[in-house]
Amino acid sequence: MSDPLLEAEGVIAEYPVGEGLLRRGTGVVRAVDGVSLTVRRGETLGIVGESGCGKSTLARTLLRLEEPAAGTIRFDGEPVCGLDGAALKRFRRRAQMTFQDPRSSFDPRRSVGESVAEPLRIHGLTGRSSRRSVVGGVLERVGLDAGAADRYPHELSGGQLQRAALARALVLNPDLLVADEPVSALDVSVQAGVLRLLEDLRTELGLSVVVISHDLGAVREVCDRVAVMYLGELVEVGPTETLFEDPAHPYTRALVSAVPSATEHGRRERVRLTGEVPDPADPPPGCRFHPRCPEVVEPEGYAFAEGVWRSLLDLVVRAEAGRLTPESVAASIARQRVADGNDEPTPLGRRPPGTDGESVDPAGIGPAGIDPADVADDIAAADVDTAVRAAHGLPSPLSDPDAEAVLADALARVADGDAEGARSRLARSFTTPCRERPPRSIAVSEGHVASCHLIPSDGDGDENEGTGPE
Amino acid sequence: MTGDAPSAEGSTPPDGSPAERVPPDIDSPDAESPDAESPDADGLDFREIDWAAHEGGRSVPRRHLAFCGVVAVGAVAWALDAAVGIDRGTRFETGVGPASIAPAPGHVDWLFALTLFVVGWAVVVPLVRNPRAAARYWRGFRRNRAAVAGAGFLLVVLAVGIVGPLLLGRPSIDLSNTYRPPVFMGGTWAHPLGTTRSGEDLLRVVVVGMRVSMQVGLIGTAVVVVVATAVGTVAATAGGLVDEALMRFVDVVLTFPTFFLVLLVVYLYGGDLFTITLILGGTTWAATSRVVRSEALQRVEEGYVTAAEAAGASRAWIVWRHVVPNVSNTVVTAATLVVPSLILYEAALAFLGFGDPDVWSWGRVIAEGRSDLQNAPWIATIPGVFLFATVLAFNFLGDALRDALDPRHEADRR
Amino acid sequence: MTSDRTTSDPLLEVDDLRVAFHTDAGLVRAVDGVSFSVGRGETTCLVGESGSGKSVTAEAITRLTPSPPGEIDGGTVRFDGEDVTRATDSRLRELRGNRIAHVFQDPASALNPVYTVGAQIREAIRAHRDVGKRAARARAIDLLDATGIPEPATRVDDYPHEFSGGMKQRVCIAIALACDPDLLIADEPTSALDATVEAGILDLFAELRAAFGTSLLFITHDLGVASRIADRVVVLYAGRVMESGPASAVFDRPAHPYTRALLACRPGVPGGSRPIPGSLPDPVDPPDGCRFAERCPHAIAACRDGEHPARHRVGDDDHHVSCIHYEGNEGTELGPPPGEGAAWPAWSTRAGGRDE
Repeated sequence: MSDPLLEAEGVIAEYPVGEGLLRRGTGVVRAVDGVSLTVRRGETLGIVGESGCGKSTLARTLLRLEEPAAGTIRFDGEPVCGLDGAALKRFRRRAQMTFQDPRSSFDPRRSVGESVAEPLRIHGLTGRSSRRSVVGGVLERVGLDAGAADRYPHELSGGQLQRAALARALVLNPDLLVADEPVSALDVSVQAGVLRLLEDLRTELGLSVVVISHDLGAVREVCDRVAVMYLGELVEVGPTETLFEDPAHPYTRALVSAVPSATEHGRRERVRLTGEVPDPADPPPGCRFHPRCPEVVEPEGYAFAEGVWRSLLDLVVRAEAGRLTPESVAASIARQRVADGNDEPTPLGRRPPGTDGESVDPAGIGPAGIDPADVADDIAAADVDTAVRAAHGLPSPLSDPDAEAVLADALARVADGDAEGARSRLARSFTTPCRERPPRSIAVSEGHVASCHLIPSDGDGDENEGTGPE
Repeated sequence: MTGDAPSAEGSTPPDGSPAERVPPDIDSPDAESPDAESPDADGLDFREIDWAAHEGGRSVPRRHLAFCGVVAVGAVAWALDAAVGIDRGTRFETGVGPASIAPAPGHVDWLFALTLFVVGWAVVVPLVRNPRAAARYWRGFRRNRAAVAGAGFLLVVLAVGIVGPLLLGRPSIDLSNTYRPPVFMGGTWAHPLGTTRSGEDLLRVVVVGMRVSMQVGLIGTAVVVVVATAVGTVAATAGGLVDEALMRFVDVVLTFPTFFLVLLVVYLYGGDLFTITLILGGTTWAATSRVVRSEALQRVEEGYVTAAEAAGASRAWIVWRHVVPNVSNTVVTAATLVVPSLILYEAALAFLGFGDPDVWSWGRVIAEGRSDLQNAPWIATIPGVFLFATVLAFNFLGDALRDALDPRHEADRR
Repeated sequence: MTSDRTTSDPLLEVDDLRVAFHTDAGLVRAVDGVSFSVGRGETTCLVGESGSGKSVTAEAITRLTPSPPGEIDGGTVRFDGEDVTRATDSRLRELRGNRIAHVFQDPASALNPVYTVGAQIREAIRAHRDVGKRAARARAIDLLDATGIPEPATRVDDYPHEFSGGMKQRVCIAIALACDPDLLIADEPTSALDATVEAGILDLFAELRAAFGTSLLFITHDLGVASRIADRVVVLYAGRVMESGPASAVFDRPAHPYTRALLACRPGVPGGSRPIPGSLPDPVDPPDGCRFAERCPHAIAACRDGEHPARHRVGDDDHHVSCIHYEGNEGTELGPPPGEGAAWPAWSTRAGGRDE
């Protein structure tokens, strides 16, 4: 328990972006940005996050299937990055991985038995009959009958293939198993069995397991500790139950609340996240979650009603992304006008029966071709003000007079066609500590750390500047 | 999950009932022969393996040694024949009779034998060793009746082409028997397909032509397959500069005017069949290698390649064990289209008079019969019909193989 | 489903539907006598494992079943009173995309990468409506807006690869809504998505139903997802209906052992999940009697004989179960299976508490 099996410190993984795909793509995307974590002997560590957060890249980097751009990884006390030749091969034998889609991770032209035996052949077990007996044994251990060895991948179900994939990883008797999305490609009814198998194997073989998943239910089921990843960084690490019962980071809270639960039928309170995961090629400054964070810290000097600050920040984010332009506002005004002109409550409402092909709106089509460019010239400042506030759910006026002055000024600039002016006005006045500096990782309790400005840091806590927890 | 009844995925009911079991054969296609190691291996558990004892262990399967041995022996025999062999000139002076029954082999014959051996090794042996896969391909293949008929026809052509000249002898000039019509046009059974202007028996001409066409088609295609697979898979897996260099070379080959190369060689050295075949093979692989490369690029991204990499496999292992077998369907399909095009190319060269003057190619006979179309139409049409049928059969075969080998068509069987 | 009701007739009535596939191994009856209905403005969830026949059922409704090898060999599908199984091909084309629209599992493959999303929505509109390009474009923007895509006026000219997975699925939903369909058939629309994105899409379906009154037939293998949006739930197993009823009844008082097993096997349920032992029966030669008997903790000898168990009513609602244990004692609840005792979750008290 004392010395960890795998230690990663400040790991950065980058990949080059194809030319021309991303507009401002000039070189590399940091899929993993300064992650430090440890995997203890005999424990199961979960790494959770949305797709695109870099968790799979992290897993591949930990096993040196990809070269880290920076940082150190130690396996059993030995740095992994310098290994080559026989030493690398020995590391490969001791650290195994299973992959997300069990179907594509088996060669369709080889029987399952051959695929499971492949690592044995690679590592020099030359005897055919000994290989066969080893494979038969390991297949039985993962709950498949020995006959499965002679089947081809397309003859097995997804759950059976995932078990076979586990068999292939275990056949070398490794010390570390990294399971990338072990159940996300499987039916719910099959998931429990695979997770239970993973748990059994860990205790029986004394494995250390890293489970990568976006499914918090699965992670909760098998993991001792969980690390939450967002946009290439770890935002929270803690013991599973603590993290689920008392999440410290707003992102974790949002993830936990999104888990569907059949035992609570009906709609329950869920934390809603606004916006999309930002482009990892151009991550937001400060706390990377702040553009979507429902609990983003309010700036000093303003007093907002509940939820207004988040809405206001959404508007700032929109302006920063260059999407608060006279044209975009004009488009929404145009649609609003047409909607108001018709009697229908909404341009998308169901057409009244019997008016097919007769009304102004021949086929239930809403605004009949109003070009935003036509409208852009003649929109009044008041219209812009109303439309933008309506779109973002902002009251008129804001309760805080200073904030109101800034907002009114910015919207007036939009109406004047000065999108850039509006952007800088908003960005300058409405900022937040979350944006200004990256949060430090702070110990919330024993073994539970999170990186968030909301967490009061008593004294000097754990001062890993901006590198994420642990 | 422990049951062995396969459960269906989505709307696709499963195939492969338990009845389809075969005896356990974990390492089927590439396994070395059973070893003498640990007679009590049955009890070996994956936790008990002493890996230190196996480090660096690597054995070459006896099967591969056998293959290399046979190829080496063939090559040595060929070299000996080339160095101290029989005077090749006598072969073409023999008339009808025992002398022609065992003609001395030429370079092409050696190469042809080698090609047949390699094809047998690469295609027939794996199918025999893996009867389930063979049965699966056959089930897919036999749906296409035309292709089954075509394959039968081609087997006959191949067999007759190999054995026929030995039994019938080579065509010879017989000025007393010129312009004899075939049986169905009122001729006699002495010359079932009639005779040419110089009195050569057309049946013998056609049979020799079978051998020529098969030699050109198969040897040339073997060259294409080997070069295209090597270039395509290496380019795809190595990437970077190697990929760039190989693909630019492919561009050069693709734009190369093969026809003029043939003319030049024929002019300089006299075009024998051996040279023409190698030139044809050596200039037509480029397009196939591009197809192989794009297929291999996709295969390299597959999960099983990453899985092998994570298990510690070397790049050569991955290419040989995973990439090459998984592009083989593409290669085989492409090859079945290369064969008829090479046969046609050779026929066209012979027709234009650039072929090997010592060889009774169908193209050459068609060219000779051209002037007699009015009074002796059979001279040009009979080889023409065989040429047409052979090319058509290869095309049918290619279509059916594409359907039978493409794993994406597995779904058809649901 | 009596025929004397006319105005309150369900929008879609599937009655004794049978779909078979001819395979090398033999005839697979993927859907073997499935009946259910979707009311107007209602959301019905088809729930089941892979191979339960749920997707085949959904395809058969608009006769998208690939044929050969598939064949609809029995039963009727009535859409708005019209028997779709007998409709001509041209009539089917009028229905598809216009009055019945599909949303598929993988949004990435459902969108054509070489056209902008706007062009694809316009194409869907103009396939069934005679409108001008500009009107169609305006409608496309409205649809993107309605499906929760920010800045629809600019995003309409973007290509699919410029959208994230969740946003692509929203685009697919916008395409499905293009002609204002009466019935939306969504086949595992969130299975390829993250939990956070999935939650957003499920909210969107609920909003759209409120705004448009569209009926929804939602197919999923996850009862957790079903519990979020379903009005009615139909549980399928090996091509047969095991249990059906209002969502509240099915989730609060799951009657069939299979439904209970499905609820208990979800990873992350409090107290630890319990896997369902065994696997689906051989689809070519399914067992007699109840097809779940092999895996059922309640199974008795009588379960393995005769036909599929008859439908029995449970409780007061329109809640039905096909299980031999309910024969004769309708309205009562099946206890825990032998040997489980107190460890068995108490459904009626809503086990839980971790997310209160």
